Amino acid sequence: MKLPKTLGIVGTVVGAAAAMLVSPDPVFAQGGIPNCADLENPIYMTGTTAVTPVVQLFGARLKNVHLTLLWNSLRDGCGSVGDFLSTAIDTSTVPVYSYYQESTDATGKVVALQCNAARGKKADLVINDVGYSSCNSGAAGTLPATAAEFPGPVQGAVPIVPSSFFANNDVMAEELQAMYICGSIANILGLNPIYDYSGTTSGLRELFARDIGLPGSASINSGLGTDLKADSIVGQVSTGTTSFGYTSTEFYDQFRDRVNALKVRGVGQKLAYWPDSDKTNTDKINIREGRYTLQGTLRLVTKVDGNGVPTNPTVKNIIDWFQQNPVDPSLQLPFDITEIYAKGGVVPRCAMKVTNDGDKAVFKHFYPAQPCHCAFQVLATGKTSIPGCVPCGGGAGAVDSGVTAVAGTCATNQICSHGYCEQP
Amino acid sequence: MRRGFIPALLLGLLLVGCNSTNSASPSNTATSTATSTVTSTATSTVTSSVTSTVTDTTPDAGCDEDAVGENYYIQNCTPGGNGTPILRQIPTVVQNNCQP
Repeated sequence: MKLPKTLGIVGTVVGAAAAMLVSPDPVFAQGGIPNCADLENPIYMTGTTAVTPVVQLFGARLKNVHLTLLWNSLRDGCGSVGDFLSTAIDTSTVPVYSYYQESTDATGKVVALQCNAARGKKADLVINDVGYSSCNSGAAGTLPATAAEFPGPVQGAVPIVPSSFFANNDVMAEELQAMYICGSIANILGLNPIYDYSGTTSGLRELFARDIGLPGSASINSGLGTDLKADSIVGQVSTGTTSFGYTSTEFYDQFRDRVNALKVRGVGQKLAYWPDSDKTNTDKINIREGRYTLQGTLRLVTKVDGNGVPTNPTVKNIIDWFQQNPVDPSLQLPFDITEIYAKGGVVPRCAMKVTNDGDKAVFKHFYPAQPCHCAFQVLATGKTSIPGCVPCGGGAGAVDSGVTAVAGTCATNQICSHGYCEQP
Repeated sequence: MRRGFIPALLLGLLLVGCNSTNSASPSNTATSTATSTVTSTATSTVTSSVTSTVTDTTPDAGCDEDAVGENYYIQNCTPGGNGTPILRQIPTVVQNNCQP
């Protein structure tokens, strides 16, 4: 039953490229690395390293439906948007992209491979941690009319310490300000050294700065910026005894055995919270309900026409999938991206109960049209029985949640959404 | 006129200084009296009586954060979540220009 859907996606998405359904072996360039252009229906993506775990899972699944998601995160979120918008073409180097596929053994792990892009090849789609107007790079500002930002899932920024550090398990926003404005001289909780990202290209740094109550990353001590990435900062912190940094929820979930997250008391808050209900859970409940203040909506940036529609039809499909928008049945994915988000460490907007304007930790209520609170909770925690969550199936607008949906009757003020009775 | 006044004054002082006695006893008295009385009386009585009964049955009753400002949601609308208090004092190092 899944196979016809798969074929439908390819046939619709790539149109004339349908002849490539049975993909020939890639033509390898010198050194055994294939040319990206020779891979099956490549789509070039770049942006924040923070979201790489999600991209890996999504790319491996898309590979099964004959799309090759190519990923390059060397220039961070803000830097990548700047490159994307720039009219300058860099032909000095050969861009190296990663692409992903599921291993053929029973582990289901994702295998990362690499390919060489053409010199000067620009990405089709960029993922940033913040809006471009929040970036600190020189050209930051409003997007031109030929480009647009589309909201994606929500990620968190997580203060981390080595797993052997037990002196404290919480931190205040004001303490984070002191650490990142004054550095180790602030002597907060005895944490030293303090690691940070690039001051001009990192989007995660902009998100972090705003969420701890600063106007932006320009307020942060530039001497801390060591141009680390969201994954490498985990490595740096984990090898020390009192070292400190922050990463994304995506990478924190991947490396909980190596680092500890500190609870955060945000500006104006009374209590400190983890992103999840406890240290071992992955339900992201405090992000979803607005108690965990270090969070932000990922932005999907691409070229658009005069109506604001992505000019690249495959990019439009990917944005629709990322946003879980209703799509033509022929474009329906044979998997649920809610599962990708749950396993990748981010929260789909359909599982959010709050939202914010801009990139500051100022929240208001959010009511998604097709909620997936229960489906996300089930997929993120692995618990099949969640109090208050009644499975259903066949309701209007119901989407395959990736879990077994059984027939059920929802209350009059509920709808069947993502396999569960939900209140819109 | 002032140019001629000062040399004349100096000359006068010089001449006075040459005298062994000075019987001059200048006297200058000025009296000024100003009286102002302002009387203002204002009486205003405003009586206002508003009775309003609002029944909000939505799950977020009493949590209309949009109407009351930036941090209202965080302070008042986010119960639960297994939060814990932090007993440390807020550091002042930032206000002290990074002096511990």
